Amino acid sequence: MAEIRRIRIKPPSEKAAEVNRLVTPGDTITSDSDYMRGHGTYFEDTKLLASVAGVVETVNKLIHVNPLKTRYNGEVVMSSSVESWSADVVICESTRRELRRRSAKDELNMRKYLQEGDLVSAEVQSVYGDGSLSLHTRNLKYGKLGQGMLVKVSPMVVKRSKTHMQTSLRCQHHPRQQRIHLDQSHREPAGRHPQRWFHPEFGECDAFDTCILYTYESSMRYTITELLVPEKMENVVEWTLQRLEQEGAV
Amino acid sequence: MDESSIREITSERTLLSQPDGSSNYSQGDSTVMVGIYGPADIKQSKEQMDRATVEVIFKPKIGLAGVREKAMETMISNTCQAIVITTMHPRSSITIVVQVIQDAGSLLSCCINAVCMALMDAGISMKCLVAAVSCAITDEGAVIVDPTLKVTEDASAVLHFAFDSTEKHLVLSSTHGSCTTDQYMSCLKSCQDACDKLFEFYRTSAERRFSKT
Repeated sequence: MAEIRRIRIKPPSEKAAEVNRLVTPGDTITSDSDYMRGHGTYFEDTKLLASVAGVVETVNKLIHVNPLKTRYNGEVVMSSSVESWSADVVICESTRRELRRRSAKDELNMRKYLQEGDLVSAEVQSVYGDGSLSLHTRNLKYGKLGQGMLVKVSPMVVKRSKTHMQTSLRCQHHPRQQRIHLDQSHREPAGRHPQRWFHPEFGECDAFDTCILYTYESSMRYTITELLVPEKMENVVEWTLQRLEQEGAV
Repeated sequence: MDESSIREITSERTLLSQPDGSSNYSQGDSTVMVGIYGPADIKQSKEQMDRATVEVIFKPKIGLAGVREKAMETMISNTCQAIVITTMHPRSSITIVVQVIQDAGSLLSCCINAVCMALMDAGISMKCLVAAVSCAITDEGAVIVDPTLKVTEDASAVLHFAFDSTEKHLVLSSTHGSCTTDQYMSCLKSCQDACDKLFEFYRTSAERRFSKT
């Protein structure tokens, strides 16, 4: 009868203090019971094991694993389409919620302000038990967005920051919601911001407001038609990255 | 002839934009593409209060899915439920869509390996990784690991095994045809040895992915 060998696959180093250590599910992170368990980890006996493939990060006594891909849950929300008076919230998996319904008259008047397909900037007022949301636009900075171009960006590329809205002369965007809205009263500027800028191929420039402004300014050196060439696009990204590095923002 | 190693493995991750995780995996000429959606909403009739429900949809290369495909779905689903920490996502669904692109032998193993890579890609919590290896016992009694379609057709028995990455414990065992207990044990041992290559591959693939960012 053939023997079945029990083989233990050698885990990577058992020290937890290493920075930028890559783990795959099932790898032992540490046997030290001093540490607290964070996302992407689980306890088995006295050992802390990884449950996702990612990089181990320690913050004081908390260990968590950062996977490459995470799903995004935002707070300030951009709705992508408005149908009657319910909004489609893209981030939170398309739950349909009511905008405002105080009286029948309000409902009828709603159409004057918002049509299907309008872009609205709103804040989440509350989250119900079943996951649906209540939105409000009771602040001057929220409301219907006028002309511009919608640029879809992968949420991974968006840099986390506290405030995610910036209104500039030409550019109004809300990076956190993976959409960038531009003022199209100047068609040229709008054309200068195809979503390709934020494709990982062209460099690791995370999308935040300063970055977008700089990209726009760097792109002013070329005409619109020139910008369609990949080399020119790469140049623009490089200039932007340099400028950001100088300021220590990257 | 006693082949004890798996054919050449190639894979690609995150190739599909809609699913949360995806992979394209091939072992020799057998190629499989997987898309994973989850954790996501689920119909109330299907939900489980304390864990996620793993649903597998197996699509053959030609024709509609039948009973054989249903059997594959169940095997893949059971393997995943042993690996994925489903208690982390109660009342949700994890949907795994497996599309056969080419079947050149060891299809079940291919599918399970592809699913494992896609699960890693999706960032779904898993207890460990899983590697599946098939083997065939020829009429002469030789054990061939990772058989091609021709070998499978002539074999007296075809066995599929899946092992976990921590202790190399058996997660899945499936047999077609008949074999003696000794033959079964020797197949098990050969497959266990062969899955080292797969675990190495998973690790290299993850390293490559993370070194890019």
